[in-house]
Amino acid sequence: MTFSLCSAGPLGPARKFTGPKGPLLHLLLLTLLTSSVFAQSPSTRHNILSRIEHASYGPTFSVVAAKIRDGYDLDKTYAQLDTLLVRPYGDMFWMYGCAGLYYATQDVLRPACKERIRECWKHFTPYRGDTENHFLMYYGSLLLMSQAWPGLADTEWFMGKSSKEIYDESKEYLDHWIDETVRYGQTEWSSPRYGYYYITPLVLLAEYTKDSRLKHRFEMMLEWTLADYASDYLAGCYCGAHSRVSDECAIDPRKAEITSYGEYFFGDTITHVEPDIAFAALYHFECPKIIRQIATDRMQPYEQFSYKRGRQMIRYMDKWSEGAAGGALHADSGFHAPVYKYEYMTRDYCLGSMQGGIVQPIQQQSWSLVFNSDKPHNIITGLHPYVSAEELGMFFPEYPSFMLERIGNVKKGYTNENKWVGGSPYERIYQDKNVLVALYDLPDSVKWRHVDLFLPKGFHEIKGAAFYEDPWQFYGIDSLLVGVYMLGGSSNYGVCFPDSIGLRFRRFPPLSDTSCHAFGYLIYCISLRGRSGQDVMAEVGKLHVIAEGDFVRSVEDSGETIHMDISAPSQARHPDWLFHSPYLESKKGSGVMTMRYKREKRVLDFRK
Amino acid sequence: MSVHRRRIHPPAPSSCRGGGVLLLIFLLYASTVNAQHLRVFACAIGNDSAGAFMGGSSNGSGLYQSDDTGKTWKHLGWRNIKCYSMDMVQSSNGRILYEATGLGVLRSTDYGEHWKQITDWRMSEVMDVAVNQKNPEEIYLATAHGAWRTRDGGRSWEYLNGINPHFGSRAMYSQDTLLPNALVIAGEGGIFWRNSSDTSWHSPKNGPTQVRDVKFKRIILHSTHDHIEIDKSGNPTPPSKEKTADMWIAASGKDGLFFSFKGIIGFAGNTTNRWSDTAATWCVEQQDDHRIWGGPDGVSDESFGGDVGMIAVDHTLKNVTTCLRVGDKNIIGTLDQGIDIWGAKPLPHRQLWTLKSFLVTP
Repeated sequence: MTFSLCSAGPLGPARKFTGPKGPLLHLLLLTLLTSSVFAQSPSTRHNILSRIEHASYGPTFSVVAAKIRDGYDLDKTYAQLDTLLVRPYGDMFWMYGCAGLYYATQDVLRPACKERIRECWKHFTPYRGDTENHFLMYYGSLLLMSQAWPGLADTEWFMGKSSKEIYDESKEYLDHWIDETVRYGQTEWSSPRYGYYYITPLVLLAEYTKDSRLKHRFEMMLEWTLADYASDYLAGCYCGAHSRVSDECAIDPRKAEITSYGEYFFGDTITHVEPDIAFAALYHFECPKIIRQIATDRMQPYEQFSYKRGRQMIRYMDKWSEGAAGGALHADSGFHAPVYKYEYMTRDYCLGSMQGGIVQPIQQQSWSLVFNSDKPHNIITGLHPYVSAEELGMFFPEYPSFMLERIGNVKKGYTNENKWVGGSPYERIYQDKNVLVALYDLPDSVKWRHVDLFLPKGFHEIKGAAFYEDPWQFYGIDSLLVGVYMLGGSSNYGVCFPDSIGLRFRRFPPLSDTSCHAFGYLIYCISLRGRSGQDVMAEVGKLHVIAEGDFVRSVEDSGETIHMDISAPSQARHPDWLFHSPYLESKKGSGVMTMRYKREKRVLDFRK
Repeated sequence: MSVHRRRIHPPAPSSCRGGGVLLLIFLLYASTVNAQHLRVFACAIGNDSAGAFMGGSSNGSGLYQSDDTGKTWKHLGWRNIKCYSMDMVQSSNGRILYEATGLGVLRSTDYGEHWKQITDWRMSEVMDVAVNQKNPEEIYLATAHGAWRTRDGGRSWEYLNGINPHFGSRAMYSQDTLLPNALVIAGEGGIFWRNSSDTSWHSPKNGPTQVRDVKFKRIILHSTHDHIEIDKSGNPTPPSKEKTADMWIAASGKDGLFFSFKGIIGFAGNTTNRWSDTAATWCVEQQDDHRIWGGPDGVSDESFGGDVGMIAVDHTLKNVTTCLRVGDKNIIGTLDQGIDIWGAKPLPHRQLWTLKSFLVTP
């Protein structure tokens, strides 16, 4: 297990940062205020901590830790801490916060509070949860706390295991998780929300684990996670297809929790501050320069192929995809559906997708076009609003039909025909650089028989007649031109519903008397940067789609034909690679990731 | 002995399809319950608040115990844990308990006062736990991700590969004379069994799938036929001669209730289901008129006020105490022999998954 540093750049071990220790350090930090342009500079750290201290968050461990470290309003701060230590039935979110606070403040925390925290871990019963991020938080927290309190008997811990048993089990799980993830991909992949809950515990583990081998693995895993994120990053937005995206972020990517870390680690201006970034600001880890460069250099367009795994299926293993990707894809032996991701990244936009099907319950986003803009809702996306008990039963152990009855209480949008989040077994997606095709073959039995496309407010129509007259529509916003071509059907192109944030374009299946069943749309995008309006219109005028039967075969673009092969999943053109792009390379199963930027190289080798 | 349906109050729907809350399927012979004290355990996976659902923890879930057949309940152990099922070392007279939960298996050796997690990170969503009563160090688990066994009281665990799909709803030791003490797992792929020394699982060909529950009952039959038959009204008629029979019933979430009088293997082939609706569970009532109750699989039924979910039932109760998981009504009611469905509310605001009872000596 080594880092290979083949760069002329300053990629040595992270510099030690002396965390804030009250007013004295304030003074020190102020002297450094203008010393760095990188987010993790002492001045930026100080600025973040100060903003978090004065923000109106409810009591959270990370905020309380920042205040205690800084000696800020201590009586009130300790009172806030008290409120965090009274609820005995928390979960893994409580655990990682508590562990982070304990370590961040251990040299200044009042002894009574330390004893109180110890009692909590003896008597409280935090729940472990059932997802990949839950387990990371749960076992990461237990590793740190069993390390903090070694040698305790099983009667001193809430689950009745000794410190040694807890440490050994946590270490075993975390090693297992790292080994699986870096070889076969994450199961909660590219999550704009839960990425935040991977980075935070990894920051804690990388900072405070004493075992040098483990600590090194956590540092590498944090880098691995950031590198994965960085390669899909465009000006504060997490691009491409996603698992576990919230309703809000699906159509407003900059609102995602992980944006806070993106701005902190990759940028020099932080506008989106989430409370846990305080932990990162208190600790020593610095994002390697090469990852920041991967996240921010968009001068040359690039393609990235990556492989992830779907959430483990427990029922209906054959239902995740009704022939998605031509039926060529199969779940692995652990019942994880394959996820082939593909992004085409430019300085003006990123078009990204996975192959379709349901690989993740409720919160999947199968494709998106994110454009580089300061405006909110800088995204185009679409879906078939699939709803079924089978989707829920595929991933959750409760009774499928009962879950469907109750799901509205928890995930209010799930059954809504107007939702913007969710996969569908009847969706197939193909993409080649700036052209994406989404096809749908909806059976009569499906609950909602339409597909929706989201266009944000601010797009202006460049060319196009009414939808029912012309399958091509062209829109412009900022420096982006987007063409939408309606595939399948000849008489019913759809309807538009404008609202306060944009336009919902809804398509229905072709009429039953036509020979065409599959339908959908083609998305074409191109940068307008440096082009005259005349040039653009001339180029647009040359576009046309050649369709054969139900499916599009090619798009003629200024005389150049782009072949769209829909006999196989286009996202899976490099099936043996976990990552394949100019910036990231990792062979599936290898446990090695190589980052490249110009002449620099950084290798994360998890094999040892 | 005659076969008849018995109406419950409020009236059940006239047709099985569409789902009544309870469906009285048929009547068999009664057996007696000895005078030992009956201890009832209710396993709750959540409360009825909006967020207490699917994956999360919710206060008020966990294991409940009642010593007065559901009139009052005492919570045992963790209050925020999805408790799918439980088992007891019967020779311990209620002292040693096992709790099957979302985070593994917990054991108490002091009547539920203190609990120890005996599984590790590999085991999650444990849907059922079964203690080998002849050797309580041996414990089987049915989980959403497959079956596990320990032979040393939980110090080490062995994954029992071969259940496909992995999801297991129920684990039990067979008391069937044909398969004494074999492990039985009911799951998404059907019904599987193996003897202790077997290295692989067996499964009846073409048996029911998506099996939510399987139970075994030794019953006494005395009637006029050699076989269970279905009369013109669709009611089954029992065999002719008085004799004991090992009866298995499987509740399929896909095809309803399946009966077998030839052991588990009797589910194979042309076994016909007796109830076309989807089923979550079932039980045999031990009253004078021995009846079988089937629980539908999450069916909304306006005749019962709507939003009535899965039913957890147990067959060893003196009076069939049926716990209904009722959504918007926030009611868990006992069903007193089918007379008053809205009667007692002994365990309100809980989503029940399993109900079990054991005879203990006070």
